Amino acid sequence: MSGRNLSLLGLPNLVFPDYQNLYRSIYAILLTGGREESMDSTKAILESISDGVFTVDSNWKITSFNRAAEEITGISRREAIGRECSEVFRSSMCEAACALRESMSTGKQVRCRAGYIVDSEGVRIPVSVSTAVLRDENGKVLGGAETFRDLSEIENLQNQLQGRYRVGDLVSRSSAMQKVFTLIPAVASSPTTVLIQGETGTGKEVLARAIHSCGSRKDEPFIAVNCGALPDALLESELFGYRRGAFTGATGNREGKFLAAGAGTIFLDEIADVSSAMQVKLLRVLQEKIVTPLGSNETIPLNARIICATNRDLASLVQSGEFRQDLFYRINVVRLEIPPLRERPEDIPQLLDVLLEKHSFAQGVDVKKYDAQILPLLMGYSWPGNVRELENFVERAIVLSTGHKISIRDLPVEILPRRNKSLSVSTTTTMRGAKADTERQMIFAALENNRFNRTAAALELGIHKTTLYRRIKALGIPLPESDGRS
Amino acid sequence: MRIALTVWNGRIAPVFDVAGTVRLVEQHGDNITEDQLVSFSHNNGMISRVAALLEQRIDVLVCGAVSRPVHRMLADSGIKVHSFVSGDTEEVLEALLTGSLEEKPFWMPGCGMGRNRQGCGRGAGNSRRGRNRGFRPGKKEV
Repeated sequence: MSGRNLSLLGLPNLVFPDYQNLYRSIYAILLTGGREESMDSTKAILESISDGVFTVDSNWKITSFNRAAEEITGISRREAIGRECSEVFRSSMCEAACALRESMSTGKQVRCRAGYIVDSEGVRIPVSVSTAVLRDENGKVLGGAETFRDLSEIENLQNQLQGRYRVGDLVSRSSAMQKVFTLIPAVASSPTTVLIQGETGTGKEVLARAIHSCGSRKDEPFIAVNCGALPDALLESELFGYRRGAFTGATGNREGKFLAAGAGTIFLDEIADVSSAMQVKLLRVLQEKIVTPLGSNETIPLNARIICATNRDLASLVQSGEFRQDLFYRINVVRLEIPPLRERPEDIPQLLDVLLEKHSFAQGVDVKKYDAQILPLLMGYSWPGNVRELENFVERAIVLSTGHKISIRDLPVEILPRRNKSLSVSTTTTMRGAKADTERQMIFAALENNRFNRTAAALELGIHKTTLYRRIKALGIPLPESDGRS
Repeated sequence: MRIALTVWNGRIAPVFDVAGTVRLVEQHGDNITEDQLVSFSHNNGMISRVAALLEQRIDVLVCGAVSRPVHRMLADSGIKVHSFVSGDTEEVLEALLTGSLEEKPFWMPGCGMGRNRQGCGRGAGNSRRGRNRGFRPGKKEV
């Protein structure tokens, strides 16, 4: 069989020095399954290239699968050969835009069609595929050959260049947030209700705005309502609106937020804090997609997309009976979770840059840098108030900073190392004790500012270094093993 | 129990994320009370697919490969997902109803190693692509 004169039509150009050898390899492997010893050298060539190559017979069963194909898909040749190509390759193109099928039906090659494959771990791998038909000497189709290239690295580089680490006002490099970023375009293009969960200050509203601004509703209103901040009656009139005479003081008609949002987005923050009665009303809105203003019998269709957010675990509230299960299922269609800042400290440098830029511009000052030594302290802090707390810190530090960069002296006491915190806590109520505490804090701050170089600290404090030594000893100020002299 | 199977050419569709057709089956006891095909638009995003399944009150989904974000979304929605399944739709449905779907003939290629530990819809853990994958060329297969 190997002696038959075959012609390969239109095999695409590959980044490969000797196309003839590659073609020959594919013929041989297609026909012999790579069993003949004479094919060893040509097989070696196929094995050495970085593009994945596989061939199929006319029944779409895999007949050969090179080493790069194994590497990219994570599937061994032994498992792949003989299986349906769509079940091995698992690409986004298989059903509707199979390049190989197109080549086999038209006889023409397909070049560089982009899509993705899903590997065994559920990771989408971007690929570019090219295909060609394999025919015998009589022009009869024997099968097809497909080459594919892993574009992950290229896509990563493109994403970095295009600012993938920033979506709207959200900034993150952490893998947990990258998962959320990946979902934003898909979520934005769908009208589905979204539930955003995350601790206070993580940026739930920022994420909701990013979803709004990435979708087709971006030119429509975005209306945010904090459901936890308003009593029931007020929240109801805010959301649903009212008609004149609906209650005492309703002297005119008022449009509620649901309708004011038009075809835009309404963001219901702190959804877990609404009362049971209000939960029933919201359920009706979500189910029927209609709104009835207070004091009216008229039902008005709701066009706005609803995004809900909470800092509480809704599933456990459902279990404890504090939140309606049917409403939970209505709003939990797509759930996005924003991890707290303490779980993604790698985001702090980038957040610092963005926030310094933002607030120094807002305050008309030039404080856009920070001392490198504060970064470990900031990254080691737990940030219970999350990004909001970090933003408050930056705003405060810019106000208090005397230079062009934020230094350790601008850090609030809770961020400073533990030993410093213990120094700051006064344990005495006497005048003498308070004076010692203050002196201790001042000396420690001067030492830290000068990397524990005692001569420089004494200079900053305006005392002689011998006095400083004496006070350090008398006040029991802890010193690091290495200091500014070493 | 309401079951959805993504189908293509009489077999389980290779990738849920872009599947065009779903077979909906309702089972009451030993009887199949409903059996119909529903089309997804290929233009629909993955969110719409998940939302459409929720609209159909699906309890169990049988599908081929599924990307992690979609799998998480499905699982979060309370749907039991049998992913990375391959084979003839009728045989797969029968296997599901008789409790033999987890057997090897229905595994997609690449799901043979560590299937119960990670990947292939069995909870991917923290492993990332390029690390800890089921198969590495050059290593001896088990």
